[in-house]
This record gives sequence, C-alpha cells and structure tokens, in this order.
Amino acid sequence: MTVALASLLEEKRILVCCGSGGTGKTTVAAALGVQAALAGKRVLALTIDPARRLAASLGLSAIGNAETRVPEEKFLACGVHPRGTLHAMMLDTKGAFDDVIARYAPSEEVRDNILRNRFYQNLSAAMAGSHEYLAAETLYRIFLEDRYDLIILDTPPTRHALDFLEAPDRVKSFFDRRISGWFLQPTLRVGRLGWRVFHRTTGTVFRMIERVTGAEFLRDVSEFLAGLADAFDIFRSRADEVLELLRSDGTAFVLVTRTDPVALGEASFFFQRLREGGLPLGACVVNKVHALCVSPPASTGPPAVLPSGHPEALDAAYLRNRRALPAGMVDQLMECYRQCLRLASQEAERLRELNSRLSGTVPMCIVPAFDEDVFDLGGLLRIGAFLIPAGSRPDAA
Amino acid sequence: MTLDDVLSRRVLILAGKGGVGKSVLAAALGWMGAREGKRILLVEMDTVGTLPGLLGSPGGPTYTEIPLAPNLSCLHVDGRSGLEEYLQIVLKSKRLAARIFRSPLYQYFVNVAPGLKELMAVGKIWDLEHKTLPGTGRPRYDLFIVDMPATGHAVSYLRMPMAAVKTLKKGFVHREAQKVADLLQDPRKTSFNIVTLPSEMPVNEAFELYEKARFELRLPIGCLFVNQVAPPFFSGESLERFTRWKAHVEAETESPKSVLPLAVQSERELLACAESWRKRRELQEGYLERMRKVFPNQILHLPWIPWVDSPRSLVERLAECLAAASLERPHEKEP
Repeated sequence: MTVALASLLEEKRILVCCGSGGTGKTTVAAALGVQAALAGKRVLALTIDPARRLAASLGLSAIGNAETRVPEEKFLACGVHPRGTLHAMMLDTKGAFDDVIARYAPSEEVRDNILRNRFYQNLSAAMAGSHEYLAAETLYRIFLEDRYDLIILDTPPTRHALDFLEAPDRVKSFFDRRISGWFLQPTLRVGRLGWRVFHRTTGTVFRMIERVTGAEFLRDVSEFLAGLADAFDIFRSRADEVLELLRSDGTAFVLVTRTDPVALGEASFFFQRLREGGLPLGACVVNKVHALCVSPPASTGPPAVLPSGHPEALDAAYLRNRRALPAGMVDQLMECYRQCLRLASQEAERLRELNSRLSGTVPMCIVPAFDEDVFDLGGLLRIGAFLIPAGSRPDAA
Repeated sequence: MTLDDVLSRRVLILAGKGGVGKSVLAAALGWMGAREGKRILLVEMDTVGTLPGLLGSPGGPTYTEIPLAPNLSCLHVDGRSGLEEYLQIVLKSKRLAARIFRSPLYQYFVNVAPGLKELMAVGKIWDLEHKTLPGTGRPRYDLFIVDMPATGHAVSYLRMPMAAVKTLKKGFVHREAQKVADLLQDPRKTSFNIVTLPSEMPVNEAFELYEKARFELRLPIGCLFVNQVAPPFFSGESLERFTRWKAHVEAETESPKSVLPLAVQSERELLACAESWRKRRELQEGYLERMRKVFPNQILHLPWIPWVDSPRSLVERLAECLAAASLERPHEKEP
C-alpha cells in the first residue's frame, strides 16, 4: 500500500505537502526529501515555516533564500549513504518579495522607489496570502531552472490552507488592468484628485477611499502600480503557469493529517478543495498515530494497530502480590492501559473511515507518534521507514 | 495575571501555533464561564464554523451571532462584512452603500488594501465591546473570547490597529484604529493568552509570540495554557517498585506456569503503555521547565484527553478540568 509513496518520489517532479497546522507537514516533507535523496534523486525541500532545531541539526543555520546542501557527513553519521543530494531552502518572505520586485522592475530607480513605497512595505508584510503566493512563485522559478529531480514544498501554516490554492488567482486579480488602471490615472499620481474624470460610482468610491484612508494611501498605491505597470502581464501569465504546473502530471499533493476529530475534519475539507481545484492528491499521511507507539510494526508489512490486549485477563491481585506493586499504582496502571486500548480502538475506527473515504484510489500511510520529538536526521530516517518501508524502495528492486 | 484575572476582564484573546487546541480551549472557557452565569460571546477570527461545530451546533458560518448554549453565543468575524457594516454607518445611505459595494473598484480596493480586512475584523471587537443591552445600559456580553488564527496571522491581525495609526496620519481609519489599539492595550479590559503544547515547535512559537505581544504589540499578557500535558509519573519509592517490576517482566523469557498466556501478553502491553506514559512525561518535563523560566504569569497545565466520543465531549471534559481545583498551576507569581 505504501509502495505508492515510493513511486511518487520516483515519478513526480513536485510534491506539495499540505494539511492543517500541527500535523507535522514540515517534518514529513523533510523525511520524504531524505528518502528521495537516499534513492538517488537531486532533491530540494522548500519550506516557509522552519523548525529551527531541525534545520540546525541538518547543518542549515541560515534562514534566507539560499538553497543549502545538507552535508553528506550528516547522512554518513547516521549510517546511510545517499546516492543523490538533499538541499533545503527556507523562504524568507520579505526577502523573496523584494527579489520578485527586483526581477520585474523596469529600472533600478523604479525598483528602489517600490521598495521604499509604504504601500508595498505593508503589502509584503501584511497581505494575507502573500506568503502563499511567494511559495508558489519560488517553486515555479526553481522548477524552471531544472536543477533538481524533485522539489518538495511544505505549504505555509494556514488553518485551512485555502490561501495557497487561491494565491495565484488572487495575484491575477491584483494585476487586473481594467481596475488597477484606475489607480494609474495621472491626476491621481500627482495627488490632485480629479474625480470628475471618472464614472459616477467610481468617483464616489475613490472619494470614499480617500475619506477612509486619507489621500496618501491612494498616492502610494498608484505609485506602486505605476512602477510595475509593464510587468502586469508577466505577473498574470506566471500566475496561470503556476496553477498549470500544480495541476500537471508531474505534481502530486501529499495530505498530512492526524487521527483526532478536528484534524480529520479539516482533512476532509481538504479533499474537497483539491478535487474542486483539479489538483492531484497523491497520498495521505496519517501522522502521530498514538496507538502504534505501543507496538511498532516491523519495517515490512502493514502496520498493526495495537495494543489489542485484554485488561480483564490481568488480575490486579496478581500484580499486587506476585509483582509487589502498591494497590494505588496498580489502579493507575490499569487505567492507563484501558485508556490506551480505548484510544487504539478509536484510532483504528477512524483510520478505517478515512481509508474508505479515500476509496482505495489514494494510498494511506501511517506514521506513529514517537516518544521523542523529531529534530534530527535520525528522527527523519525513523519516519522515513514508515513512509517508505524498506521493501517498497524503488532502489531495493 | 491568573486565570481568575483573565476571566474577569472583557476581552480574552487566545493565540498560538496551529493545531495546539486554541478553538477547543476557547469553547471550553466559554462553556465554563457560561455555566457560571456569565454572558459570553465566542469570536472566531479566521476559521469558518469551527467553534459552532465543536459544540455540536449545525449552524454554518454567518456574520450574525449564533446562540450555542444558555449564555453562550458565537460570532464569525470577517473583515469584509465588518467593513461594509462600518461604511453603511459612515455613508448614511443604504442605497449609496449598496451601489458602492457592487462596484468592481470597491471590490478591488478591499482585496488589495493591505491589512484593511484584518483591521476591520479587530475593529469589530471594539464595536462589540461597546454594545449595550437596550434600555439598561448594561453591556450585552460580559466576556469576549477571541479565537485567533495561527501565530503569524494572529500577529498581523493584532498589529494592524497600531500600524494604521502610524501609517495613516489622518482620516476615519486613523481615529478608529486608535480606539481599537487603546482597547487592545488596556490591561483592565484585555488579556492576551498563549496556547501551546509541551513540545519543540509549539514552545518555540509560544516564546516568539510572547516576545512580540509584550514588547512589539504591547498587549497585556495573560496566561500561558499548556495543552495535552501527561500526568506526573510515579516518583520516589513507587518509581523504584515500577522499575523493579519492569526489570522482572523484561527478564522473563518463559511465562510462569500459573498464569494464562493472555495475561502474559496483557502484562507486557500494560508495561509498554506505562513506559510510553513515563517517556512522554519525561520529555514534556524539559519544556515545562523552560516555560516556567521564561513566562512571568500563570501557567496552566491542561490534561491530555486521549479519547473522546465527539468534539463536544472534549470541550466539556476540558471545561470540567478548567473549573476543577485539581488543575496543575505550577507558577502562581503575579507580574
């Protein structure tokens, strides 16, 4: 069943890890990156939400827009030999936005004006969705440079992660010439607002905006848009191309979720969104499954949901007398056991439900909750063993 | 501030990393307060319809207050509707307002104006805080519990009033934003509370959020809620007995003749479950200690509730824990 995740690493050019916050997207993305590098791919893991300790332990100290290679010694120290390479990049959104402006501004003077423009400064720092757009834009730029076999993108931590899917459309409407053109009226740019030149409602709206925000805001917007006017069509067509790339055969989405009802609720919302958007769901990773931590499965074969035991078979008197455990302690231990069992059967039920919702078309992969936090290569390899069991590795054949 | 202080203010803001349980905690605090007779409004800032769903209400997302239980209602705040509501008041004409809202330029403006929607959403809290019951002059709600979006987005929401005061030197927005900023920064009315889990990334984000809220946004800091804390494991003599038992079980290669195989298997599983509890607590201990060192106000440990039948029963269980005196409160220091 997990063979599919291995074949995604083999066949796809782009994997997008998505899911709600706290499900472990970043860790799963990094673990997939490690597995692909072991299998001989040149991989880039692109993240916005860096886990600092994880990054540091991989030898990536700088957070910036540089692609940094995870040193081979880190792999060797864990006893594995990567046949490929793993690079990681942590997107600094402010810096990435400045890069985009620098690339599209017609001259250095215009570029500097835009970078100093107050509307732009607020836009890049505050516009909801700008992170998502930059992630998509950066992904696309690196993809076109064709230096990697596989790019794994860890999507920004939005609650419903809708923004990432909507970002390209939002950018398109931002650079909609029919409307932004109104902001480019010369009268507006010199600051004397000649409302009469507009259609009546348009004039009213401008007056209202001025009343609400003050005239300076309109001047800032106008200056910003004027600086980039020549690049409008490039922005719009790139947004289209990004969407096309995300929908293409070379891309697959990997949905990361947990077994608690809140996370599962958000996951089903996600299925729907991906389907509506025509975006290909390649696999579903169920992370932090508690039941399994009691009895981890062998590295091959399907994971068993355990414990499956029988607390009624355990005689409290036996534990007290033969094992010399105090009575109060026996009660607490038995209670802990019963809770684990109940959790295990509940999780098993939810996994069955999820599997039937995926209706056999999307493979499901189960990763247990570990006793330790994962923040080094060793931890990523442990997760990787569940994502890509040894027998299903393409290189094992 | 302590939990009691936080509950006696008017606006209780909850923020933290995604997935740490902000919405469930918001619902639990609301459930608890409402049962104590407070009139409470849960305010959803980002998610759509999560809070009503947690309390078992089918009511979808609307921009009107939905009653969920006696004394407890919920409102989904969205900036666009907030702006329209506000502009109708400013423009004093419904017809004119309707024409403007239909205009493509207006739609464009709302989409691109940075932070305008966020500003309006936060502004709605000010508006609600000032609403009174008709005829009596009493406030309509005693307490607003605001469920913020995940860390980064929460900061951009809360930064907006202060940013607008600075960027827009005059105009409506400048004046309105000042009022909103004053409310948010007033320690007699507002508390900014952080929710986290005792593990690496949520704790780091909680610290960052604390620094930003305190020194950059200058918000009155409330409590730190640590969710999903495992109960303390055995200590002292009990721990020694546990360790001896564990050694025995692990050393046994053959089962004692008097015991059924099923019992042997179960004893091993029992031990494995207990070990997983011990390790979890041990791992959490380090993070709990770090938080004690950094955070100046009360830290509340909320239990890990491993299985529930429905989101609503989770909310109720958590509310019971919040109300119970047995809740661990390791840090009773006033700022």
